[in-house]
Amino acid sequence: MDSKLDKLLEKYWNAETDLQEEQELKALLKESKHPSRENEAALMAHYEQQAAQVLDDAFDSEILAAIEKPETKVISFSSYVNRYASIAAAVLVMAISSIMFVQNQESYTSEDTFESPEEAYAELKKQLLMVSNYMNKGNRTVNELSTLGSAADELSAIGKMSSAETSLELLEEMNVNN
Amino acid sequence: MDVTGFKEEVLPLKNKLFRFALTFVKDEELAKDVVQEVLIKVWEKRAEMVFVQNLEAWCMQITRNKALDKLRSKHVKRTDQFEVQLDTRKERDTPYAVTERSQLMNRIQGLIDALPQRQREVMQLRDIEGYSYKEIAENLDIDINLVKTNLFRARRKIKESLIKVEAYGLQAG
Repeated sequence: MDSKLDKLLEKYWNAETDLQEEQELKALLKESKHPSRENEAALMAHYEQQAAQVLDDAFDSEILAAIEKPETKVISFSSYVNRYASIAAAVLVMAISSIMFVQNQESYTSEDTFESPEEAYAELKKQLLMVSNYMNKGNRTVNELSTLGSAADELSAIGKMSSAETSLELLEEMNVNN
Repeated sequence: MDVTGFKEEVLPLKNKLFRFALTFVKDEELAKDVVQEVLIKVWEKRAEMVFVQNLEAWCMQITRNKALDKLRSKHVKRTDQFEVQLDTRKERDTPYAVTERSQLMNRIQGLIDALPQRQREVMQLRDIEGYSYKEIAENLDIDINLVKTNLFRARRKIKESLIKVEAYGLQAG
């Protein structure tokens, strides 16, 4: 009996036992009352004690409550939002921009439209008269500018006067010499 | 997978996952939190389950990752663990409260806790859960030879430590 236990123990410490031999070893050590095997018996008892550690019964109901009701709803909602948020945002931007575009179009047409063609003609005539008035004013200004050209001629005439003065001085010198 | 399928296939793994989480976090409440998070994650990812070949190994891997995350994020819990250790030491030192066997078992727990993490995981799955080498390799997503090497090293260390305990008594370091 002990020799079998010793052999199994040796194999166990060398990590050469299979699962069945390990079960056998545990059973033999549990029965063994030999003081020299106390350490090994305590080791196997420790394994047995560890294997008996379990969660309480309330755990199952906690988990099932967590997965069956609110969690699943929250998860499905958030994944739904994540999936469609970008599409919804794009649609919203397009809708807002198209509404603004249509509104701008409407405001242009209402500003330029008169109730009758006579009114429109009268307005156009008024505007054209105003433009021609401004153009006449412009013409006058250009004419005034052209007088500047004649002023330059006058200046050149003054220049000629100075040359005449020098020739007069020469004549004076001739008189002095004579 | 519907709720019935979850009850039949996933929920029965809870205790194995709890004990596995316990080897990392060493606190029952924390280990319970880990298992809760794991099972809810599995439920959320139930659509992906058709691609999963080994449900149990998949759950074990999620548990391992969650438990390690928990350990990394809960710096405060280290203080709690320290307090727990002090409490058990008090218990051990009270001669009338515990027997010699349970003192020895506490000592063994300390020896296992002192093992490197991978060796501790392999030892837990083999000696406490009774998995085959192949199953352990799948659960930990490592090579089967690595499983054997880690188990051999873990058992050798425990054996050597038990010889020391025998030679110097329970109070020996």
